[in-house]
Amino acid sequence: MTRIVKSDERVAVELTVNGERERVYIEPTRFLAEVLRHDLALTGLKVSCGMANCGACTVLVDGMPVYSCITLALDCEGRSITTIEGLSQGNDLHPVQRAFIEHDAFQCGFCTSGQILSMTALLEKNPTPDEGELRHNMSGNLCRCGAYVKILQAGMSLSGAERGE
Amino acid sequence: MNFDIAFPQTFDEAISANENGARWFAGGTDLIPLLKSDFVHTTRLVNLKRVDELRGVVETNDSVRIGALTTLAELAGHELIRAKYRALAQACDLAASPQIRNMGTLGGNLNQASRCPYYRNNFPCYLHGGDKCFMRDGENREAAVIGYHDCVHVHPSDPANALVALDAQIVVRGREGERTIAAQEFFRAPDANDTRMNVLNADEMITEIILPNDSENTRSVYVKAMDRAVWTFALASVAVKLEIRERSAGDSTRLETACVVFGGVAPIPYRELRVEKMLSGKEWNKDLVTQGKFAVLQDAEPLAHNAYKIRLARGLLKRALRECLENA
Amino acid sequence: MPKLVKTKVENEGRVTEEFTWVETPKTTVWDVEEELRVVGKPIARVDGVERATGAAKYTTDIQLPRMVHGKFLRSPHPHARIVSIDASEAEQMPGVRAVLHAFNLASNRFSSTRDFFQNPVRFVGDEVAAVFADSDNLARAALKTIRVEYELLPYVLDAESAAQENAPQVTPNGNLLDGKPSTYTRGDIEKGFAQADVIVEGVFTTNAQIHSSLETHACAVDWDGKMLTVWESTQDVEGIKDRVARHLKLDKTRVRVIASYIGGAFGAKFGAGKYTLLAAQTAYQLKRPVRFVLDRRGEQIAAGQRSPTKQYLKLGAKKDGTLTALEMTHYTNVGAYATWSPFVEGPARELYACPNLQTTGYTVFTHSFPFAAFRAPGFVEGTFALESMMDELAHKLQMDPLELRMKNYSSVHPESGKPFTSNGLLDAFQEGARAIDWETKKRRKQEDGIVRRGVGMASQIWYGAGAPPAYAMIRVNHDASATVLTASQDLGTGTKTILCQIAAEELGLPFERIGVEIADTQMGPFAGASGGSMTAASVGPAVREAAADAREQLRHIAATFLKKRVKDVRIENGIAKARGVEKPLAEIFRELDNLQVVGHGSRYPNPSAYEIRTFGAQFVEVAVDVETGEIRVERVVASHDSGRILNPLTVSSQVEGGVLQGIGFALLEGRVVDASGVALNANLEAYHVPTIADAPKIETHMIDRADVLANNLGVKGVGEPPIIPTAAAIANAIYDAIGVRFYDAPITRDKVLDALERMEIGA
Repeated sequence: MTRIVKSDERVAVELTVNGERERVYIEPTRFLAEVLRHDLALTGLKVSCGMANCGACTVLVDGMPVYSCITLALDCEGRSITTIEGLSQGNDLHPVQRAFIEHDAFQCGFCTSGQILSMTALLEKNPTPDEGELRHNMSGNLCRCGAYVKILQAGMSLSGAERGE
Repeated sequence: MNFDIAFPQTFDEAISANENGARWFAGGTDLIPLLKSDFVHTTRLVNLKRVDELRGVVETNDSVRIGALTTLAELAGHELIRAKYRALAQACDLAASPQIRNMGTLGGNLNQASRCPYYRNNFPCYLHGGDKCFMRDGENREAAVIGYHDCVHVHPSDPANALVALDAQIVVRGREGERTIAAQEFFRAPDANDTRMNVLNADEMITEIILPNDSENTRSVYVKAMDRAVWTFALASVAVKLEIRERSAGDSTRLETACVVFGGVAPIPYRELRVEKMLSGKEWNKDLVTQGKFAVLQDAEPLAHNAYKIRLARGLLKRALRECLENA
Repeated sequence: MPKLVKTKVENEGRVTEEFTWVETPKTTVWDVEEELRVVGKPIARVDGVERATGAAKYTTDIQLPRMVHGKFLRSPHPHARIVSIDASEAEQMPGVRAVLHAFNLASNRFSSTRDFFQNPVRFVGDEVAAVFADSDNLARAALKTIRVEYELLPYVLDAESAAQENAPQVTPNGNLLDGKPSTYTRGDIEKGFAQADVIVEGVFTTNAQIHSSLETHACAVDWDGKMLTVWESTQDVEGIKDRVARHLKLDKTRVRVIASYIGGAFGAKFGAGKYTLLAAQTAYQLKRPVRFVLDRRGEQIAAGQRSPTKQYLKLGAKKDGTLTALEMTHYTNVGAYATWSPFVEGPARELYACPNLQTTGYTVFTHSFPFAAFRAPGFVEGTFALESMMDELAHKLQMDPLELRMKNYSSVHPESGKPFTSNGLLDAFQEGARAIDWETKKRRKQEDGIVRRGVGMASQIWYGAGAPPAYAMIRVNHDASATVLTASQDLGTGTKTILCQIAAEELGLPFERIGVEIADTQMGPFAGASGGSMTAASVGPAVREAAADAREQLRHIAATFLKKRVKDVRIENGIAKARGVEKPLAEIFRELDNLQVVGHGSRYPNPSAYEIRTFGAQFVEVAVDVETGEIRVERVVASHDSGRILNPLTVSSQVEGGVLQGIGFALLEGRVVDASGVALNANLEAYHVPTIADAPKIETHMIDRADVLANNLGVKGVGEPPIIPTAAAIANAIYDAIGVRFYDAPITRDKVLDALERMEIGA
């Protein structure tokens, strides 16, 4: 049977966010970015264009970077979502976060959560990216301040390719 | 934005859920921004993501079948596609951004709306049901130079060009059942009377893309020119498929057949038959590229600001051929 | 005893007079060779963890209960009289709290030149009405119901056309700022050209560059009956405080402005926006928190841009390269509301020792998009033209372009004749030329393959002196850690970090023991706006003074404890030391329980006998594909003199960011405007800011030498200089590669391909 959620209907949706099961009550037109930022107060991701043109809203859905500003929250039922808040364990930062700080891979910081999540996903998939692969896989996150050179340095410092692995 | 969402699990459910004014919804990378822009409206999204029949890449004896919901990222990274249909893998990899490739599907990509700036700014143009093309005499740097009718927009899809070059078949399904259409016949140039960009009817969806099982002598490539290094639509692009053979032992290598399809220059993936003919049967070596004349897009009727596309197309073709030579 | 001083303040070439309250200096300038412990070290940002974990709270992250959301309705016409507005449907929608427009606003005056809701509207995007509603979506839905009747009026979009006599009128005072062009003359221009052996002329255009900050202009306002708190993504918390207080007729002490984190600014975020004041008055009236965030389209069309220019240049020189005359006229399209002009003629007037010079600047009102300062306003545009023209002159003289520039180097300021406090231009030439291997590369024969490489360079001059007034406090806390307090801002440049470094250095505390509270008018003393590359050299010296004040107090306290004379006590790494005895400050403070020490500091006036400028040069290698017109910037060597480098890590970030935006300006970014006045690329899809794949290798080579005459740190600004020479250096490198000069920025593929076709190069 085809399930139909009506436009004015508010339905319960279960998401796993940063390892925690969350239940939110939402209409079908709600986007993941808003639900995370507003309903769950996870404001680390940013909404800058709302049109999938910039990358500030990047989160990982089942480990894969997506633009949460155009992802319908209802479509994420049962899926595992990682936001920047979920990367560090208490005070222990994720290696990508540490590399960004050490290499000064941000300026204003507005795009940073998206940058870090994109890089985290890439390194999960490919622990030894070369600079070209970093550029290719990080190209969906705009940084208007132009921290790219440092982002590449941060990425290369984590790449096994750099360490000769 | 005010819509229901239907979650069918099979083809049949999907087709019956597609009632008046409903829209197919897969990756949503184009449709959602259109809905947010508030000039495309719908009462219902028919969410195809749970229709498992639409997924996967399957190799059969005489073809490779790609489910329409396969994402661009999956295709770009798919070993078989990369090995046998390189142009398609490259076209998927050069489209948009990593996140969009993770979300966007092949079916959706082929059925995306125009990126014409006038359309996207809601000018009352043909594509919006109006009676004028604003780009023709306006800011037409990105417009078509050939193959256009009333509307001078260009088709935005990268994979579309590769699929035409690779002689793909597109399987579509609607209330009346299934039909299979050659990729080349699938796309159409919008005109005042019919503004569709392809031959799909409102109730139809793309279910599968079928690629012929080409011989080992086939190679293909996709080259794209953009306003910046990545994440922009093509100013022009080219998909090339070549069949190269040594006719007999000791004989020189020859280009048996060539298929050349330009993107970004027309409202459809534009097949350049003259150049194909010129290339076919030629000796396959560097001289072909360096000495060839490549009078591409000879029938072009460029507008005020887009004649550069002709030279660009020629340059891209040469680069594509060179890449084929180097990857031999 | 402190004294009151009135002093001249120069910011981006505009001079004002300011009062400042200065105490007897407690510091002397750190010498060029001074061994410093913390300052000058590549220290990671003090707020890096917040920025990397999502903990940093930006204005757009502020969510308060019962928050109301504001949205603008914008004009679809470039020039039209609003005949009527019917907002009745919106007003009746449940959850809509206010609908404001020209016909119902009690006071419609926004600024000296602008109403909140202009009538007639003067560009496509001008604000027509504002809706405040319980949700963003509801506000948007309400906007759609507002019916506006327009009477269309004639319009003009282009500056040169608007400057003509019979052009449609943009403002009641005509189409020129100040009613006439601004002119400057030195020497005798005609005589200068008569003396010239060689003359070159060129007409240049530069397109608009849009800041495109990822955080759009935004504010959140909360009124609790006593205090109005404004969170604003701004470069100037004090300016917002003033403006909001005046608008609401509140005492300034009852307005608090916070800008803890700012998601990009680049010059567009000075002063309160219409949205700020309307949000403030609505919050005040409704007694509910209000959030007003510009949407992306609003940001791209109504929040400012680097204005398009058209520049006519003519240069005359002797055979040996000595400039004899420079003539420059520009038309700068500032939209309908500008109150000042970008200093496009600045580089022509200041960079070279040309005795005969004449500039004419038409700052033109049009029915186009509004101007706002954008990182080195005027100088980016002006340097593109001037330094391209200089390159052309060098080629005509068959001279090395670098040598031509050295030939015309001015050791004193060419207008005032005053010496500079420091001038590292020649050092920057030398360092940059060495790093890129200029000597070899400029002699390289033009390549004839498909991909052709070339090298080019350009120079830079800019302000960045810093100035009073700027004040700071240092609070030494109960655990002998210290906090820097000042109402400055950190735009992502690393201001917080350098202020902590300065305080740590002067206090003798470890860097880790210093905290900082800035960008909150309730926390710190006045420190001025962050712009004009002014922050480090304005606020930094005040922080050092405050730290010195606190350190003196600490020495007194420690002397009592150590039973030594004050003059024998020093503080090193948090430990008070005097001959043979030492005690950590933390222990002293523990024993003293709630002791707290506060140091004060203020920024001194700049020396009046000197000019203060930043200098630099960039060298660029490009590769041009003559078949596809693709230009790749492969390598940029940026050599700049900004005095002492406080933190080489964050400075290189500033340089890289400036270069990247310079590359955007040179090759990618431009506004596409239809003849109807509509911006066709008011989004981040079709407006192309550089991506990571566009980033070349960028090497920062700072001439790290303290400017000991400038201020007690020896520092000059660094935020703007690196964007200035990039575009000209790229254009010059392209010329070197393919022998084609481009006069129009951005140099996009279509222009390259058309030129290659015209010149019959390649394919």
